[in-house]
Amino acid sequence: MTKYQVCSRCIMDTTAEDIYFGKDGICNYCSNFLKRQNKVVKDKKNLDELISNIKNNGKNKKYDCIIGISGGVDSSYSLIKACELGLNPLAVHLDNGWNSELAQHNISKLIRTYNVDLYTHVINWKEYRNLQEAFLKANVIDIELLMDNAMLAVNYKLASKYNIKYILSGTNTATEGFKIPENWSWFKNDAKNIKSIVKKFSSQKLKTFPTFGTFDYIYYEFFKKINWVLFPDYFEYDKKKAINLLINKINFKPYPYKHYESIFTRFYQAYILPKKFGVDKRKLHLSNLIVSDQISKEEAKRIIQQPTYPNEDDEKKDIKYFLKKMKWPEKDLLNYISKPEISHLSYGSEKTIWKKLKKVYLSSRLLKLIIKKNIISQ
Amino acid sequence: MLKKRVIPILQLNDDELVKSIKYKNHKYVGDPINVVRIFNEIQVDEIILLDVFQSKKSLDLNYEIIKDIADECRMPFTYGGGIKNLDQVEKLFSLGVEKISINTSALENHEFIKTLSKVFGSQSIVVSVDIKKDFFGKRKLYNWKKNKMLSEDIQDQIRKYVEFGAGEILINDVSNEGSLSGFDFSMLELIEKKINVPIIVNGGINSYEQINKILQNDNVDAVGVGAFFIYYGPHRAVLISYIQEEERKIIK
Amino acid sequence: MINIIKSGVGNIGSIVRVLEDLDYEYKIVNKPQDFSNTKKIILPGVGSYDSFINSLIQNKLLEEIKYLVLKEKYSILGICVGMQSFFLNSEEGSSIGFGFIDDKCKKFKNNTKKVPHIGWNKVNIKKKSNLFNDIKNNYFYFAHSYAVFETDKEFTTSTTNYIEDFASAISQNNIYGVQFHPEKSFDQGKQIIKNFIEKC
Repeated sequence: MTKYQVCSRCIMDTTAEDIYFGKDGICNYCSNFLKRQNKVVKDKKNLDELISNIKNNGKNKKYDCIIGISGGVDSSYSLIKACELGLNPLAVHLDNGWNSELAQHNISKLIRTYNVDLYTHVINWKEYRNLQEAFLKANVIDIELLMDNAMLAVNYKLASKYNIKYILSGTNTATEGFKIPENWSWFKNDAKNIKSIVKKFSSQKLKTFPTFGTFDYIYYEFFKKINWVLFPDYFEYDKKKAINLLINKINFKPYPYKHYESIFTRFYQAYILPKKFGVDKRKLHLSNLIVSDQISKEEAKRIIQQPTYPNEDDEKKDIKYFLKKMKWPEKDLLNYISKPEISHLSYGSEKTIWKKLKKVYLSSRLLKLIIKKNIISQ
Repeated sequence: MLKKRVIPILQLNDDELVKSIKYKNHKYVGDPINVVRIFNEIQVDEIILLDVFQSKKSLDLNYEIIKDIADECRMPFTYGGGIKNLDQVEKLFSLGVEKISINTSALENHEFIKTLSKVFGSQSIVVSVDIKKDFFGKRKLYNWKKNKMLSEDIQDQIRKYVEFGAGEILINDVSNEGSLSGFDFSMLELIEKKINVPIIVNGGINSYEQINKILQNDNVDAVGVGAFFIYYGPHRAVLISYIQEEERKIIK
Repeated sequence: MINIIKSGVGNIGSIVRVLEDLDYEYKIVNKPQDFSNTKKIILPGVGSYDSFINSLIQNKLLEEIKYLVLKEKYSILGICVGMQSFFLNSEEGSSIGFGFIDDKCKKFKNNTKKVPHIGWNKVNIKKKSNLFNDIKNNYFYFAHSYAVFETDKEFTTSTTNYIEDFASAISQNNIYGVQFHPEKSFDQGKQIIKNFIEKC
């Protein structure tokens, strides 16, 4: 049992199992982030190149890029930026039956103001509830693996359908650049894990739910040559400024905290993660903001002291709604919270295959580089 | 002043939300509980849910889903679909349904309207009228359950419904519904000035301008909107929306 | 525990929901023995005048409510036909109401506008009342064909205009009534119910 320790710079602590501290008490999350940031600084000069590539590739096509939108700040800002830079995106949204009114409002304002086409993939709610319940019965930490995996599937499939080579993701290193602790979530391309859990805990099969695995990744990225781009890394991205711009341009309604555009995500991050798994994701997001100089450590500490729900009433409402949607009595929820965590690895997974293939790929690239160098030096 | 109303009309197939085009090819839209919850947060004037398949089923109404939906409404909720007797209606009101809508039952038996309004008051009884264009483009009364055009005169029929105690009349343009191709304004000629109960029209609306224009008509009191509040754009992407205060031009 | 009367055709589902939103305990009253000691009664009403009154008579609630209101000074809030039942009678039917208030309900004269009066209409406060404390939006949902048109009487708390002015809210001592549906009028409606419970 490791002694509790917090980073001297940010607010990450030992609830992240793979944290370690340097002599000055600064954690590996901080130092790794700074390393990644330097790489990103180089990329910032390449925005023009990226845009020009996208435009060239998109000539004579209906759309030149895909942008997944959730109604949240990051993806909304990315869409506006893309439009202002003259791109012709197809906006994509995944509906799992938990959309909040805020999300629908923001998406609606966004696409109407910028005259962008929207594609929504609607997962059959009863099917999705069944999948979520399987994940809950499995006691695994990453229940959002379902949505994240499906998002990958939908984005890539759509890009392939319209022969688009660029998927612009709203993820960026400024507010999501801290690598998420290994024990806080799971490998997102793990279609096998989803299928194994569903097979074990549910009597129903996957019908409208799309999955995405290692081989899908290889197919889309290497054969179809579709690029998944971390778009906000190509320009200045300050979260507070982004929110203000969104409010001004599209009458955006901000959320009290990150990811609150889906009622389940809100419940998952504010209730399930802290209560069942002892994880407070705000530490990650706030630490990110500290290290990218967007808030002070004092402000972050003040925020983290507050309960995960802005007020108690909201928590009660979410619990009530969750129980209603899942058709669970309250005791089932309490029972679930009290059960210990089970690793995703206890069920079938393709994480090992992925790691092996990645190793092979990186080695072959390294080999090619070495050969190239040798040829040049000769 | 009494405001004219803009009412989202949603279609249920048991516990799923669906959307048809011309009452056919019902496509899955989503979880009715979450969709109604969103409309409630938007604070729509009221909401109508019609279980379009119920009249063809032998099982009784799905009270569980109706209650779950009513739970999400802090505005009036009208339910229609398969209503055949008083017991069902009494149960619906006890669950929190504000008004009920009848279609096939009214067609088959006008007396039922009388019975309902006597017991429950006409203000909670909506009679729904389906209108479809025949092969020659002439508007006819339509019986969805039997897929038959009827010979009765539309205006006579509406007058009868009102006589028997209908509190509101909902006129559905079946030929246009779900199409997003635009409301057919010639439909409004069907409404006689002397019909003295509130009239709701719906079918094919695809813009805020149309909503406002329909409400400018003196004989119309409310407009029902389906696809336009559920879908967006050429891919018919599911996106729940409503008309905002700034877009609304009519107050009666 | 707030007493909610369930008459045969009452819409208690919606009232119950609002009370749960407000975190108040309630008791559903089907018969005289069901009343709790809390001196608050909500009488929701859907339905025609006669069927509503008859149902109260059948369940022996008419007399019990009269007793509780007049003798035990229970506060009562009547909604829609619930409010109408506090008067002597209504043109809608032949039954005799509670008679708490010496007046009658009449039908809207439908020569200039449509009847029933259905939709969101404005409530104009005429007499200061705790019922309307902190109301930020004075549009409420109405659905009725009958109303009380004596708007210059002492019991009229608010008026609403439709064809002519009618009493949209009334109060007399411990008796309160609203013609509109607070349980279906979003936050402003919830506030009315909250005010009735906490301040009336």
